[in-house]
Amino acid sequence: MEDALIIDLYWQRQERAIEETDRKYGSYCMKVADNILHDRLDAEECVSDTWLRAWNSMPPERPSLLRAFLARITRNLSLDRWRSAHAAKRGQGEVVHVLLDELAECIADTEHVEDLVSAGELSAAVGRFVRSLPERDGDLFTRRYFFAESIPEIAARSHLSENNVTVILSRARRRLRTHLEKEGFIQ
Amino acid sequence: MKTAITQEDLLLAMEGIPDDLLERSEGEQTASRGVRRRRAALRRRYILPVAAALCLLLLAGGLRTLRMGSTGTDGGMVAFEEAAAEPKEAAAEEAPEEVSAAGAAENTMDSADTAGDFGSIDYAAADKEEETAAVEAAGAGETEESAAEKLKEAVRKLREAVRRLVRKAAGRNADE
Repeated sequence: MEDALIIDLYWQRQERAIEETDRKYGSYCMKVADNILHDRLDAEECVSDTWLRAWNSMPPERPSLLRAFLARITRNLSLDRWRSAHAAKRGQGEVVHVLLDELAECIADTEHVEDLVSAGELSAAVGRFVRSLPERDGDLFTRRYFFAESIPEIAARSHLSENNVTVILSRARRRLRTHLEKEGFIQ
Repeated sequence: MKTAITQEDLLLAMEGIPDDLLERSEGEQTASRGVRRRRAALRRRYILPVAAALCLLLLAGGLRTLRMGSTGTDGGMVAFEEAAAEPKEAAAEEAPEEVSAAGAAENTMDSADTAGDFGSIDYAAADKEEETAAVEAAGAGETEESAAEKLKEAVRKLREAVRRLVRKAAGRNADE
Protein backbone atom coordinates (compact mmCIF):
# COMPACT_ATOMS: atom_id res chain seq x y z
CA MET A 1 0.00 0.00 0.00
CA GLU A 2 1.18 3.52 -0.80
CA ASP A 3 2.46 5.61 2.11
CA ALA A 4 -0.10 8.34 1.39
CA LEU A 5 -2.94 5.83 1.71
CA ILE A 6 -1.55 4.51 5.00
CA ILE A 7 -1.33 8.06 6.34
CA ASP A 8 -4.93 8.65 5.20
CA LEU A 9 -5.98 5.58 7.19
CA TYR A 10 -4.31 7.10 10.28
CA TRP A 11 -6.16 10.33 9.68
CA GLN A 12 -9.43 8.44 9.31
CA ARG A 13 -8.62 6.74 12.64
CA GLN A 14 -8.88 3.28 11.09
CA GLU A 15 -7.03 0.56 12.94
CA ARG A 16 -6.11 -1.01 9.61
CA ALA A 17 -3.48 1.74 9.39
CA ILE A 18 -1.39 -0.05 12.02
CA GLU A 19 -1.77 -3.41 10.26
CA GLU A 20 -0.63 -1.90 6.96
CA THR A 21 2.28 -0.09 8.62
CA ASP A 22 3.35 -3.27 10.34
CA ARG A 23 3.15 -5.19 7.07
CA LYS A 24 5.16 -2.61 5.16
CA TYR A 25 7.63 -1.32 7.74
CA GLY A 26 7.55 -3.93 10.53
CA SER A 27 10.82 -5.62 9.62
CA TYR A 28 12.48 -2.29 8.86
CA CYS A 29 11.62 -0.80 12.25
CA MET A 30 12.59 -4.08 13.88
CA LYS A 31 16.04 -3.75 12.32
CA VAL A 32 16.42 -0.16 13.51
CA ALA A 33 15.49 -1.15 17.08
CA ASP A 34 17.60 -4.29 17.04
CA ASN A 35 20.66 -2.34 15.86
CA ILE A 36 20.51 -0.32 19.06
CA LEU A 37 19.18 -2.81 21.59
CA HIS A 38 20.51 -6.12 20.31
CA ASP A 39 17.62 -7.80 22.06
CA ARG A 40 14.79 -9.35 20.07
CA LEU A 41 12.10 -8.96 22.75
CA ASP A 42 13.02 -5.37 23.58
CA ALA A 43 13.11 -4.54 19.88
CA GLU A 44 9.64 -6.06 19.36
CA GLU A 45 8.27 -3.97 22.23
CA CYS A 46 9.86 -0.86 20.74
CA VAL A 47 8.24 -1.56 17.39
CA SER A 48 4.83 -1.99 19.05
CA ASP A 49 5.38 1.31 20.88
CA THR A 50 6.31 2.88 17.54
CA TRP A 51 2.89 1.98 16.10
CA LEU A 52 1.21 3.46 19.17
CA ARG A 53 3.20 6.67 18.93
CA ALA A 54 2.53 6.90 15.20
CA TRP A 55 -1.18 6.45 15.94
CA ASN A 56 -1.02 9.31 18.46
CA SER A 57 1.02 11.55 16.14
CA MET A 58 -1.17 11.26 13.05
CA PRO A 59 -3.13 13.49 13.06
CA PRO A 60 -1.99 16.22 13.46
CA GLU A 61 1.22 15.19 11.69
CA ARG A 62 1.30 14.21 8.03
CA PRO A 63 4.87 13.03 7.33
CA SER A 64 6.20 13.43 3.82
CA LEU A 65 8.40 10.34 4.21
CA LEU A 66 6.66 7.77 6.36
CA ARG A 67 9.63 5.45 6.54
CA ALA A 68 11.97 8.13 7.91
CA PHE A 69 9.22 9.28 10.30
CA LEU A 70 8.82 5.75 11.69
CA ALA A 71 12.60 5.20 11.84
CA ARG A 72 12.95 8.36 13.90
CA ILE A 73 10.28 7.22 16.38
CA THR A 74 11.75 3.71 16.65
CA ARG A 75 15.24 5.08 17.19
CA ASN A 76 14.12 7.44 19.95
CA LEU A 77 12.14 4.73 21.69
CA SER A 78 15.05 2.32 21.44
CA LEU A 79 17.50 4.84 22.88
CA ASP A 80 15.04 5.64 25.70
CA ARG A 81 14.72 1.96 26.47
CA TRP A 82 18.46 1.52 26.38
CA ARG A 83 18.94 4.50 28.74
CA SER A 84 16.40 3.27 31.25
CA ALA A 85 17.95 -0.19 31.22
CA HIS A 86 21.49 1.15 31.63
CA ALA A 87 20.89 4.14 33.88
CA ALA A 88 22.73 2.57 36.78
CA LYS A 89 25.46 0.60 35.07
CA ARG A 90 27.59 1.18 32.01
CA GLY A 91 28.63 -2.09 30.48
CA GLN A 92 31.31 -2.50 27.89
CA GLY A 93 31.07 -3.54 24.29
CA GLU A 94 27.43 -2.62 23.70
CA VAL A 95 26.62 -0.78 20.51
CA VAL A 96 25.45 2.45 22.13
CA HIS A 97 28.53 2.53 24.34
CA VAL A 98 30.72 2.04 21.32
CA LEU A 99 28.92 4.89 19.53
CA LEU A 100 29.27 7.13 22.57
CA ASP A 101 32.96 6.36 22.81
CA GLU A 102 33.37 7.24 19.15
CA LEU A 103 31.50 10.50 19.63
CA ALA A 104 33.84 11.39 22.50
CA GLU A 105 36.21 12.52 19.74
CA CYS A 106 33.72 15.25 18.87
CA ILE A 107 32.77 16.30 22.32
CA ALA A 108 34.22 15.67 25.73
CA ASP A 109 31.82 14.41 28.37
CA THR A 110 32.24 17.63 30.37
CA GLU A 111 32.14 20.11 27.50
CA HIS A 112 30.66 23.43 28.60
CA VAL A 113 29.19 26.25 26.62
CA GLU A 114 28.29 29.76 27.65
CA ASP A 115 24.79 29.79 26.28
CA LEU A 116 21.98 27.46 26.94
CA VAL A 117 21.83 24.94 24.18
CA SER A 118 18.55 23.32 23.43
CA ALA A 119 18.35 19.82 22.07
CA GLY A 120 16.57 21.24 19.03
CA GLU A 121 19.43 23.60 18.21
CA LEU A 122 22.00 20.86 18.51
CA SER A 123 19.89 18.58 16.29
CA ALA A 124 19.59 21.30 13.69
CA ALA A 125 23.36 21.85 13.76
CA VAL A 126 23.97 18.13 13.27
CA GLY A 127 21.48 18.13 10.38
CA ARG A 128 23.33 21.01 8.72
CA PHE A 129 26.63 19.26 9.25
CA VAL A 130 25.49 16.00 7.62
CA ARG A 131 24.10 17.95 4.68
CA SER A 132 27.46 19.67 4.24
CA LEU A 133 29.28 16.36 3.94
CA PRO A 134 29.93 14.72 0.56
CA GLU A 135 27.09 12.35 -0.32
CA ARG A 136 28.96 9.14 0.43
CA ASP A 137 30.43 10.36 3.73
CA GLY A 138 27.04 11.71 4.81
CA ASP A 139 25.40 8.36 4.07
CA LEU A 140 28.05 6.48 6.03
CA PHE A 141 27.76 8.90 8.95
CA THR A 142 23.96 8.52 8.97
CA ARG A 143 24.11 4.75 8.82
CA ARG A 144 26.51 4.65 11.72
CA TYR A 145 25.15 7.30 14.10
CA PHE A 146 21.47 7.35 13.24
CA PHE A 147 20.76 3.71 12.38
CA ALA A 148 23.56 2.39 14.61
CA GLU A 149 24.68 -0.09 11.94
CA SER A 150 27.88 -2.01 12.46
CA ILE A 151 31.03 -1.18 10.48
CA PRO A 152 31.03 -4.51 8.55
CA GLU A 153 27.39 -3.96 7.61
CA ILE A 154 28.08 -0.45 6.34
CA ALA A 155 31.18 -1.64 4.48
CA ALA A 156 29.24 -4.39 2.72
CA ARG A 157 26.44 -2.07 1.73
CA SER A 158 28.70 0.70 0.48
CA HIS A 159 31.19 -1.62 -1.31
CA LEU A 160 34.09 -0.31 0.77
CA SER A 161 36.55 -2.04 3.03
CA GLU A 162 35.93 -1.90 6.77
CA ASN A 163 39.15 0.03 7.21
CA ASN A 164 38.05 2.57 4.64
CA VAL A 165 34.70 3.05 6.40
CA THR A 166 36.47 3.51 9.76
CA VAL A 167 38.78 6.15 8.29
CA ILE A 168 35.91 8.04 6.61
CA LEU A 169 33.91 8.04 9.85
CA SER A 170 36.91 9.19 11.87
CA ARG A 171 37.42 12.14 9.51
CA ALA A 172 33.71 12.96 9.66
CA ARG A 173 33.82 13.04 13.47
CA ARG A 174 36.74 15.46 13.37
CA ARG A 175 34.85 17.66 10.95
CA LEU A 176 31.80 17.51 13.22
CA ARG A 177 33.88 18.80 16.09
CA THR A 178 35.12 21.69 13.96
CA HIS A 179 31.55 22.36 12.85
CA LEU A 180 30.23 22.41 16.41
CA GLU A 181 33.06 24.71 17.45
CA LYS A 182 32.28 27.07 14.58
CA GLU A 183 28.61 27.15 15.52
CA GLY A 184 29.51 27.86 19.13
CA PHE A 185 28.28 24.65 20.71
CA ILE A 186 31.69 23.76 22.08
CA GLN A 187 34.79 25.78 22.75
CA MET B 1 24.36 30.13 32.03
CA LYS B 2 26.54 27.13 31.52
CA THR B 3 25.32 23.84 30.18
CA ALA B 4 27.09 20.67 29.25
CA ILE B 5 26.70 18.74 26.05
CA THR B 6 27.25 15.09 26.61
CA GLN B 7 28.04 12.44 24.08
CA GLU B 8 24.59 11.07 24.70
CA ASP B 9 23.10 14.44 23.76
CA LEU B 10 25.09 14.35 20.59
CA LEU B 11 23.90 10.85 19.80
CA LEU B 12 20.32 11.95 20.37
CA ALA B 13 20.93 15.04 18.27
CA MET B 14 21.50 12.78 15.26
CA GLU B 15 17.73 12.94 15.08
CA GLY B 16 18.30 16.27 13.38
CA ILE B 17 19.46 14.52 10.24
CA PRO B 18 16.83 15.46 7.65
CA ASP B 19 14.38 12.89 6.30
CA ASP B 20 15.69 13.06 2.75
CA LEU B 21 19.21 12.22 3.94
CA LEU B 22 17.83 9.29 5.95
CA GLU B 23 16.02 8.04 2.86
CA ARG B 24 19.09 8.51 0.70
CA SER B 25 21.36 6.60 3.06
CA GLU B 26 18.89 3.71 3.05
CA GLY B 27 19.44 3.05 -0.63
CA GLU B 28 22.00 0.55 -1.90
CA GLN B 29 25.26 2.40 -2.44
CA THR B 30 27.00 2.06 -5.75
CA ALA B 31 30.65 1.19 -5.77
CA SER B 32 33.13 4.01 -6.27
CA ARG B 33 34.56 4.74 -9.72
CA GLY B 34 37.86 3.07 -8.90
CA VAL B 35 36.20 -0.11 -7.65
CA ARG B 36 33.91 -0.19 -10.68
CA ARG B 37 36.90 0.20 -13.00
CA ARG B 38 38.82 -2.61 -11.28
CA ARG B 39 35.82 -4.90 -11.48
CA ALA B 40 35.28 -4.12 -15.16
CA ALA B 41 38.95 -4.86 -15.89
CA LEU B 42 38.68 -8.15 -14.03
CA ARG B 43 35.57 -9.05 -16.01
CA ARG B 44 37.24 -8.14 -19.31
CA ARG B 45 40.49 -9.96 -18.61
CA TYR B 46 39.39 -13.16 -16.95
CA ILE B 47 35.73 -13.78 -16.49
CA LEU B 48 34.43 -13.02 -19.99
CA PRO B 49 37.08 -15.01 -21.95
CA VAL B 50 36.70 -18.01 -19.67
CA ALA B 51 32.93 -17.84 -19.88
CA ALA B 52 33.08 -17.49 -23.68
CA ALA B 53 35.44 -20.46 -23.99
CA LEU B 54 33.19 -22.58 -21.78
CA CYS B 55 30.13 -21.59 -23.81
CA LEU B 56 31.89 -22.49 -27.06
CA LEU B 57 32.95 -25.85 -25.71
CA LEU B 58 29.44 -26.61 -24.53
CA LEU B 59 27.98 -25.46 -27.84
CA ALA B 60 30.44 -27.52 -29.86
CA GLY B 61 29.70 -30.55 -27.72
CA GLY B 62 25.98 -30.01 -28.12
CA LEU B 63 26.25 -29.60 -31.87
CA ARG B 64 28.35 -32.70 -32.17
CA THR B 65 25.86 -34.70 -30.14
CA LEU B 66 23.01 -33.35 -32.24
CA ARG B 67 24.80 -34.22 -35.43
CA MET B 68 25.53 -37.73 -34.24
CA GLY B 69 21.97 -38.12 -33.14
CA SER B 70 20.48 -36.93 -36.44
CA THR B 71 22.70 -38.85 -38.89
CA GLY B 72 24.09 -41.59 -36.74
CA THR B 73 27.56 -40.67 -37.98
CA ASP B 74 30.10 -38.04 -37.26
CA GLY B 75 32.60 -36.69 -39.75
CA GLY B 76 35.45 -36.72 -37.34
CA MET B 77 34.54 -40.08 -35.90
CA VAL B 78 34.15 -41.61 -39.35
CA ALA B 79 37.59 -40.38 -40.36
CA PHE B 80 39.01 -41.72 -37.14
CA GLU B 81 37.30 -45.08 -37.52
CA GLU B 82 38.43 -45.40 -41.13
CA ALA B 83 41.97 -44.52 -40.15
CA ALA B 84 41.84 -47.01 -37.33
CA ALA B 85 40.43 -49.72 -39.57
CA GLU B 86 43.05 -49.30 -42.31
CA PRO B 87 46.12 -50.49 -40.39
CA LYS B 88 44.14 -53.49 -39.11
CA GLU B 89 43.21 -54.47 -42.64
CA ALA B 90 46.73 -53.85 -43.82
CA ALA B 91 48.07 -55.98 -40.99
CA ALA B 92 45.52 -58.68 -41.77
CA GLU B 93 46.55 -58.65 -45.42
CA GLU B 94 50.27 -58.61 -44.72
CA ALA B 95 50.34 -61.12 -41.91
CA PRO B 96 49.33 -64.22 -43.92
CA GLU B 97 52.02 -63.47 -46.51
CA GLU B 98 54.57 -63.10 -43.80
CA VAL B 99 53.45 -66.33 -42.21
CA SER B 100 53.38 -68.10 -45.53
CA ALA B 101 56.89 -66.93 -46.42
CA ALA B 102 58.30 -68.00 -43.11
CA GLY B 103 56.23 -71.14 -43.24
CA ALA B 104 57.57 -71.98 -46.70
CA ALA B 105 61.11 -71.68 -45.48
CA GLU B 106 60.39 -73.81 -42.47
CA ASN B 107 58.52 -76.34 -44.52
CA THR B 108 61.45 -76.66 -46.85
CA MET B 109 63.73 -77.25 -43.92
CA ASP B 110 61.27 -79.66 -42.36
CA SER B 111 60.81 -81.56 -45.54
CA ALA B 112 64.56 -81.79 -45.91
CA ASP B 113 64.91 -82.97 -42.31
CA THR B 114 62.14 -85.51 -42.58
CA ALA B 115 63.54 -86.79 -45.78
CA GLY B 116 66.61 -87.87 -43.89
CA ASP B 117 68.67 -87.27 -46.99
CA PHE B 118 71.00 -84.53 -45.93
CA GLY B 119 72.90 -84.73 -49.10
CA SER B 120 69.88 -83.76 -51.11
CA ILE B 121 69.14 -80.59 -49.15
CA ASP B 122 68.85 -77.68 -51.52
CA TYR B 123 70.58 -75.03 -49.38
CA ALA B 124 70.58 -72.53 -52.20
CA ALA B 125 66.81 -72.73 -52.52
CA ALA B 126 66.37 -72.46 -48.78
CA ASP B 127 68.63 -69.42 -48.64
CA LYS B 128 66.71 -67.82 -51.45
CA GLU B 129 63.43 -68.45 -49.74
CA GLU B 130 64.80 -67.03 -46.48
CA GLU B 131 65.96 -63.93 -48.30
CA THR B 132 62.53 -63.54 -49.87
CA ALA B 133 60.89 -63.90 -46.47
CA ALA B 134 63.24 -61.26 -45.02
CA VAL B 135 62.45 -58.87 -47.87
CA GLU B 136 58.75 -59.47 -47.39
CA ALA B 137 59.09 -58.94 -43.64
CA ALA B 138 60.87 -55.66 -44.35
CA GLY B 139 57.98 -54.77 -46.63
CA ALA B 140 55.54 -55.50 -43.82
CA GLY B 141 57.54 -53.14 -41.58
CA GLU B 142 57.17 -50.43 -44.20
CA THR B 143 53.45 -51.07 -44.32
CA GLU B 144 53.28 -50.61 -40.55
CA GLU B 145 55.07 -47.26 -40.88
CA SER B 146 52.70 -46.11 -43.58
CA ALA B 147 49.75 -47.20 -41.43
CA ALA B 148 51.09 -45.11 -38.59
CA GLU B 149 51.38 -42.18 -40.97
CA LYS B 150 47.83 -42.75 -42.12
CA LEU B 151 46.71 -42.82 -38.53
CA LYS B 152 48.51 -39.54 -37.88
CA GLU B 153 46.90 -38.06 -40.98
CA ALA B 154 43.48 -39.21 -39.81
CA VAL B 155 44.03 -37.69 -36.38
CA ARG B 156 45.09 -34.42 -38.05
CA LYS B 157 41.93 -34.50 -40.19
CA LEU B 158 39.87 -35.20 -37.11
CA ARG B 159 41.40 -32.21 -35.33
CA GLU B 160 40.69 -29.99 -38.33
CA ALA B 161 37.11 -31.22 -38.45
CA VAL B 162 36.63 -30.42 -34.76
CA ARG B 163 38.21 -26.98 -35.25
CA ARG B 164 35.91 -26.28 -38.22
CA LEU B 165 32.95 -27.38 -36.14
CA VAL B 166 33.94 -25.08 -33.29
CA ARG B 167 34.53 -22.19 -35.72
CA LYS B 168 31.15 -22.77 -37.34
CA ALA B 169 29.51 -22.89 -33.95
CA ALA B 170 31.27 -19.70 -32.92
CA GLY B 171 30.19 -18.00 -36.15
CA ARG B 172 26.60 -19.12 -35.66
CA ASN B 173 26.75 -17.97 -32.06
CA ALA B 174 28.02 -14.56 -33.16
CA ASP B 175 25.29 -14.30 -35.84
CA GLU B 176 22.62 -15.07 -33.23
